[in-house]
Amino acid sequence: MSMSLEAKKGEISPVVILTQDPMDAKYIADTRLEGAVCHNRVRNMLGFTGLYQGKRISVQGVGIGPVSAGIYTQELGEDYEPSCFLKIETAQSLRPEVKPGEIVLALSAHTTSRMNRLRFGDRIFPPAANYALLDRAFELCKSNGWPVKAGPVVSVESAYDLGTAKKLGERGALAVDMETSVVYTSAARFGVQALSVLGIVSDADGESALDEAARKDLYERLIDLALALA
Amino acid sequence: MTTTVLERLLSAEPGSIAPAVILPGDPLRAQFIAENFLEAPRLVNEARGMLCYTGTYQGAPVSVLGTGMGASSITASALELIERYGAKTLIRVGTCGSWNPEVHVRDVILVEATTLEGNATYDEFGRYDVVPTADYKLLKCASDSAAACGIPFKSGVVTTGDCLHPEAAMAERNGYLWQNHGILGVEMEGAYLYTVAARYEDVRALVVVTCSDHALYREEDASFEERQKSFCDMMRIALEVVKKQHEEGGCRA
Repeated sequence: MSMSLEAKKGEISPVVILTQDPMDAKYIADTRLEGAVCHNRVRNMLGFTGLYQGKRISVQGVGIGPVSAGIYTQELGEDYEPSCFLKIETAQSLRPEVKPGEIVLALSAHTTSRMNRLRFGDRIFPPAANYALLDRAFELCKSNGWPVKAGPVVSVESAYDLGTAKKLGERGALAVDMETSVVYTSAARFGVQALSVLGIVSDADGESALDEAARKDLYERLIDLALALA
Repeated sequence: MTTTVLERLLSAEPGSIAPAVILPGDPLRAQFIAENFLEAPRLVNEARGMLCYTGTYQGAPVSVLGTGMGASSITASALELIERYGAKTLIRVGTCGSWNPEVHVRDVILVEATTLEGNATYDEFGRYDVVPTADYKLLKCASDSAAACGIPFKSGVVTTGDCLHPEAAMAERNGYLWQNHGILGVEMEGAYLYTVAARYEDVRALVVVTCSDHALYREEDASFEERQKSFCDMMRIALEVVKKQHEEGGCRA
C-alpha cells in the first residue's frame, strides 16, 4: 500500500498498462480482462487487475502530466515490484510525415518539466524506451500492417509548452504527449522495462484530426498492441 | 599550422569524403579501420593529426575520421563534415567505461540516447530537457545487422561526460545520481554528435560503443592494444549499417 494506491502488495501485477484517464483504465478492464478486480479507488484514480488470455495484467490510471504520473509510477516502483510499464495514449503529431491514424513508439522523451533537472544535478537525463520492447512493438505493427514510426517525443507540462514542442519537432521529435518522460525515468529508476505508445489523432498544425469513431478504433489498436506486448 | 576552430579543421579536398563517415575519437583507430576493413583506402586528411581515410566497405563508399576527444572535437568535426563535405550518415564508434554490474568489458552497446551536461541546447531551448537521441533508422539497422552477424549487443543509454578526471568527491556526488537509473556506461562525445545531427533534416547519427574499462570488474580491463585493435564487432556493425544505407531499401525502419 502506498500513499495514492490502496492495493496491498501483490494485488497489482508486475505488468502494468498505464494511461492518463482512469475511465480508460476501467474500459480496458471491462472489455479485455477476465475477473477484473478494482485494486484502487483512492482519489478516483482507478486501477484494475485481471487476466488476459490467462496472463495477469494490471491497468492503472496515472492522471495528467509528469507530476501526477510521477507519483503513480514511483509508488508502483517502490511498493509493487513492477517489471513492465506499457503506456498508451492518444497524441498530436509534430512532424508532417507523422499522420493521424499512425502509431508512434517513443524512443526517448524530451521534456519541459524541471523534475529531472532537479533530480540529476541540473543535467539532462535521457528517458528512453526498453529497446527490445520497442523492437517487438515495431515488428508487431509492421506485421499487422499498422503504420508505425519510432523516435523522440516531447512530454510537455501544459499547452503553454506547445510552441517549444513544435520547435523540437523541427529537431526530429515525432509527437507531443505529457507523461512519457516521467514514465521512462521511473522505469529507469526501478529497472522496469517500459514502452510508451502514442496513437496520433491530429496533425502538427491541428488542422486534420480523426473523427470520434476513428479515434476509438485507434485507441482499441493501442490496447491490442499493449496486450500483445504484455 | 594553427588555425582557430572556427576556420577549417580538415584539408581534405572537396568531394574526397564520403556521405557516410565513421567517427572514432582516436585517429589511430581510424587508421586501423581503414587498413583492416576498407577496400582501397586512401588518406585524405592529415591536418591536426585527424587522420581521415576514404574507401569502400563491400562496395559502399565510406570515410573514417578520427575526431579527437570531447564536445568541441566532435561538434566541430560533425559540423564541418555536414556543411563542407555533405555528410549525411555519421556513426561514432568508441570506447566507454562502466560501473553498471550488468555490463562487462568488451560488451557492445548501441546508444539509444545520452545524458547531456553541457550547454549544447541552451541557446534555443534554455532549461528544457532536450535528450540527445539516436536516429531510429540507423539504430534499427544496427540492431538487425548485429543480430544477423551473430554479434551480441546491449541497447540503452549512456552518459556523455565532459570531465574525464573528476576528483573523488565530485565523482562520488555524481555517481549516485547515475547508478540507480540503468545507465550502461560513460563516454564523452555521443550527446554532442546527436545534438548536431538533430539540427539537420537529412542527417542521421548513431553511436556505438564498446566497454573498455569497468569500475567493478577491474580484472577485465583491456590493454592499450586491445582497445585499439580488438573492438572489431563494433566496427563491423557500423560498417554494415553504412552498407545497408547505401543499398536501395536496405533498412526496415
